[in-house]
Amino acid sequence: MTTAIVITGIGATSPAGFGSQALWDALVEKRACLTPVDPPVPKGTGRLCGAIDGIDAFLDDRRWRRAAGISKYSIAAIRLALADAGLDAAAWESRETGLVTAVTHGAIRFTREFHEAVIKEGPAAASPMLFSDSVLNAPAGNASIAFNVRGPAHTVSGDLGAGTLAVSTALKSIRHGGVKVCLAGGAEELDPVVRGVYASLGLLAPKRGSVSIEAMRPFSKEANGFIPGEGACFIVLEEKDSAIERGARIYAEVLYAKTPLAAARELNTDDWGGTIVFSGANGTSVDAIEEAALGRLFNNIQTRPDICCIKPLVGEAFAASGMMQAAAAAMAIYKGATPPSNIEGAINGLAWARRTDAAQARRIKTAIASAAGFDDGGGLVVLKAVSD
Amino acid sequence: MKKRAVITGVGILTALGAGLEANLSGITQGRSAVSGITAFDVSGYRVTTGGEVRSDLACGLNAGAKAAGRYDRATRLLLKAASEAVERAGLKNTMAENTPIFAGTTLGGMIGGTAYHRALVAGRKAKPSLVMDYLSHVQAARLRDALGLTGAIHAVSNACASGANAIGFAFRDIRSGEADCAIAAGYDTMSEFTYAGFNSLQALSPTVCRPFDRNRDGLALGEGAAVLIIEELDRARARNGRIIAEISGYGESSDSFHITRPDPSGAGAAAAMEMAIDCAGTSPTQIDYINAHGTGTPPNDMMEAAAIHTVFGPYGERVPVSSTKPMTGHLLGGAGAVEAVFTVMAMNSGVLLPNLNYSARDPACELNVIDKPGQRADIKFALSNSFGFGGANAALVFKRWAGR
Repeated sequence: MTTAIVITGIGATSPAGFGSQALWDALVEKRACLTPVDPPVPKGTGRLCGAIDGIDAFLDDRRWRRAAGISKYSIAAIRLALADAGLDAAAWESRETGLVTAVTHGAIRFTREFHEAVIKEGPAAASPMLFSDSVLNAPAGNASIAFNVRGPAHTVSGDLGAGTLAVSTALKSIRHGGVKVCLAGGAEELDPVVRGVYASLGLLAPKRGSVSIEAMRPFSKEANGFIPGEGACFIVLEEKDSAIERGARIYAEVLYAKTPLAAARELNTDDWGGTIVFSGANGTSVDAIEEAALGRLFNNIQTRPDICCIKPLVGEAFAASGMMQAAAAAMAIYKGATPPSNIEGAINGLAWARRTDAAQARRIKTAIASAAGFDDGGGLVVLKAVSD
Repeated sequence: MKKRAVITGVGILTALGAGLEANLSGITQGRSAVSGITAFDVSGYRVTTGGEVRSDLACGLNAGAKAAGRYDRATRLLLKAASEAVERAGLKNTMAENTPIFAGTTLGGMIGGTAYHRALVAGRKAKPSLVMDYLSHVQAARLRDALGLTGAIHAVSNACASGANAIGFAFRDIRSGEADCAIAAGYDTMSEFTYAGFNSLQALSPTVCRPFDRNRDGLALGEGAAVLIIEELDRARARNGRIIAEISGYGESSDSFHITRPDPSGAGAAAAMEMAIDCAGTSPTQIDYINAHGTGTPPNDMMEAAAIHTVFGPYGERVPVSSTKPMTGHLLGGAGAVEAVFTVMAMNSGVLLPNLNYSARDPACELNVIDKPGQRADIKFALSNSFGFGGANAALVFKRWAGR
């Protein structure tokens, strides 16, 4: 019998704003939180992005003023998640507190700036500050300092399945690693060089310049790539019994969190009932892989699950997106509502899913965050409603 | 009842050479493979040495010349070590499809990434093929594909503790019954990016790396990879796998102190060691050898000595301790995995590994530092430490396999 683990807090720093409610509102209102990229825009690199605005004003803590964007987004999201969970980092048992941060490109801007100085001016111009904050685990290291985390502070990496990997690693830390409360999150920052690489691989939605949820079209017959995004999202995980004991608000219980997505074939969905899927589809070749895997998963279900894509609203933020999907799934259960699907026009497949144009109130028993990966194999998180 | 995790295959690649034999002879004889850097132009640097891998990287897993050319050096190091490990475990072409891979690295495909960026900065056409292996989980994905597996890849990047964390994660999954066989790896390349970084932090030794010595003045960087095949004991026995050693404990913690400097009290490192020893169901006085993190920087070694004294009490002055980094250089994300293999080699050959270049005792590091090669010892339990930037601490306890 494994210990039941629940989500008791959510914090998000996303193009929709600060806080999980801002992300939820954007989903419900079908509001594309995209902006034109800063000029000059080289040919074919895509004209829109999902960018964070105003992080320095929000994060009024001078210690992190010079940190990389990805560290600031992480620290802001964790602060929001802890407040949401009613936890005080100054008061908790720090050795029994853990943190898992999923990254994809890491602090790519500092990485690039550090290296550019070495190339152009030689080793004497190399900045030790940029170097130490460019390391992949710098966001987790900074956050462990900011929030008094003295249990494990892990950094895991991947692409679209990285968020799931953070959740599964956190669950193991609680079940087998002596951790009582574990933060699990994902973080990503925008960078023009990364955008250029994806553009040259033909993976960015290049043409449509106007801000709308139709700019990026997951599952569509007209899908033509993704819009890059950034941000961070963290959830607070703890044992159900201790969450109840401290009177915490419980969003949902984590039923399953595993990578790769293909491993989900072991699941039996027959009695899941009122389900919603928060998909990781992004308008590239991964959509068909996810569609096929979920099609197999739901081939016996009586009620077709609702489906919702978050990326047309905030962009593709890789490790951060995976956790935003899981956070949206937890909120859907807790709020008893399904956001619109955000899947426009003619689509490929999805016969097993129910598409909706507007938010609806409904009791949700199971909510899912799923993604197929570019290289990491993707992953699946299944959350269920907690009765009483 | 918790399951037991045993090592049934290892592969290793360091500046000392490719494979178990070359490394065993190097570490037991106390040979340093740190020499002049050839991978990039070091003329502008204060320090010009490191432990580079000069072995042929061709192996069974990247035999296709086309594939080998396409892979980043990091991927090739990993595949080379993995090829040896799988072969030694007797699992070539017979590994279960869902076998998970746990891989620790700090840099991933930084060699390709910096080549791409260099072309971009110079205004030349930057080929996207250079960055296909850039992200730090992609090397593990290439290994998964090369082995024909479809299981999970767990890429962990906790700076210089990464390799130990990868082994610890695999150990935990075997213990809990989540998996019955796993691949654990640590690897990193010699890249100008990191070299310039450690140079800017003034962490590179301008003389020689001499951990725990009073006159220590920094670390030497290295590169390489180590891969361990870890199996559940009953499964290993059932298939008549050769058991190399048991992994009996893993501990992890963080300092919550500073992004690059360790907490001088050593409290975080001590917590990880205590957790690992406790997990192994043993006590500090049963530990016969400590393979230290021992980078050779003044703050790390002082902190590690303090942590050892906290955990081991009076025995802290007697327990044999050495750092093998003067021989291979510091392999960053590879260190924890390479040193796990070294620790097991020491245990199985009954030889304490030498801490090269140690001559002057430091009152801040009052330890029983093994300063000469060839000292025999009966090692039943051994501890391997790994600490990294961001305050990441990991410790592993190994138990000699005595047939039961």
